[in-house]
Amino acid sequence: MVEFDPYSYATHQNPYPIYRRLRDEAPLYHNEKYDFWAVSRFEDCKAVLKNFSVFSSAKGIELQGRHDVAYSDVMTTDPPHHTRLRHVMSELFQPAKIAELEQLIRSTARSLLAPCRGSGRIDMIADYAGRLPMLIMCRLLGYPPEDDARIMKWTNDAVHTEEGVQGLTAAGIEGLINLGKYNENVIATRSTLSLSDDLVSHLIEGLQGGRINHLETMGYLQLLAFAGHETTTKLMGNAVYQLWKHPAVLQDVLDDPSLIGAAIEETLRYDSSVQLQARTTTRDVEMHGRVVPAGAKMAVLFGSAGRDERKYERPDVFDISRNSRDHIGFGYGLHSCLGAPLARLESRIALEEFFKMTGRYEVDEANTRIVHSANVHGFNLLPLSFTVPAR
Amino acid sequence: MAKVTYVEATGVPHDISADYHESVMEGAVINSLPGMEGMCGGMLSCGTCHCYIDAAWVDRLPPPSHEERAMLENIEGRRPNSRLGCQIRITDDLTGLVIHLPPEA
Ligand code: FES
Repeated sequence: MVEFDPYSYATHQNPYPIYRRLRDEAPLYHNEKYDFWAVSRFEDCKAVLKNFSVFSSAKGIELQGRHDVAYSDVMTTDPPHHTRLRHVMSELFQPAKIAELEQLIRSTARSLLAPCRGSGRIDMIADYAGRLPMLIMCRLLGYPPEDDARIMKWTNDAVHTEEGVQGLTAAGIEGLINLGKYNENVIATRSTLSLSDDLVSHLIEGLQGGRINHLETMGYLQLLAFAGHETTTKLMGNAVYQLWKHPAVLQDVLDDPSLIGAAIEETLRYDSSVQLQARTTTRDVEMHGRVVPAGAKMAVLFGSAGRDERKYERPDVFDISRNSRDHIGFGYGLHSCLGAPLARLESRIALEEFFKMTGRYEVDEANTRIVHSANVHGFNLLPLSFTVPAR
Repeated sequence: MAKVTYVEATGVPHDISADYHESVMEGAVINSLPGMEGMCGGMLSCGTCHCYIDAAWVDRLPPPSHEERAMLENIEGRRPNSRLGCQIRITDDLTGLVIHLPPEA
């Protein structure tokens, strides 16, 4: 019998063989130890994500219950509240609006790369991808640059996982509390000022116009501080790692940087940074001849959906010439990632600037470190070296 | 709140009241109507929210953006009254709007 343990280190290292067995042997899987269910085939994942009235997000999207410092936000609500909350921000994340950020992202990326340029060494995550999305988000929110360091520390602490600890570490809880206090202060002070075009101003406008309440505003601010911090960071890292693993593809991308977008989409299918999200059943529901009871946790395995041989030809081949947007790496349907246009643009520019600096590069595989998480897949450390051109 | 009508490709009509200024895509997806997928959740990245606006309404809607028009160009079954449902918010003044859904993929 196939066993899937989302907390085991072996799973985090390489979940794909287990996913294949789940798809073949247990398309509706029940884990008795942690008492959750899981779907792993592309079509089943889609069906669950689509059917929000049966598979609800309102009890959180993690396998464990929600921690106390959580607010309701777009990720943890169903329509109609979800629709109302999403529209407070959705216009601001449309691709045309996001495209205006190109210069800001590029100059931020360059300044992060600058110290590594002459050294021939960089840690893709610690020096670069772990910082870029956060810095951009702070500018979008309108936070002053002098606050970057502490916001970075709080959010880093909160996403850090420790071996054998499920959920937040003590430092992580403290980070969330500090971020909460900071955001309370942001709302209080910014409410008295004239509003501008940043995200905080839009939230405050929504708050003052009665479209969202105070807790929802806090929820949004917390979500935005983390959104992309983990997932976009890991996406950039996974793309750089997979391209290194596939040197012929890397060469194509180096020769023709317009392929970077396709490489990012293929990474979202092949090695998605989001591996699992949960829903909670609102009633008994039958799937694959079994009944999932009401109130059960249902895991949707995004990482498995991307490798489903029922959906993709040669799913285990990293092939950037596929119809690249036909994946659920950003989710599916109403809850599909609001920040996807931003994540796409940031990743593309990050990789463009990175490849311009490195050309071919060597990952120091022995010194990589992966994140241990049931939800997110990718690296915490991804050191690599490249040749510095002679002057 | 606006009351709008979706007509399935087979001709079956559905009257929906849009209480939260949802988009035409969300209105269809929330009510599980066939023919509207809305894969990207309204982020103008998938084109799976394609629909046809009833002739009487085409000129009464805010016109499509440059980006929406660009995406529509690649859509199979495109007609002059094609729109992307995620780009149209059902505001109160759209009561009576009629949307024709394409056949289910
Ligand atoms: S829902 Fe994807 S483009 Fe409209």
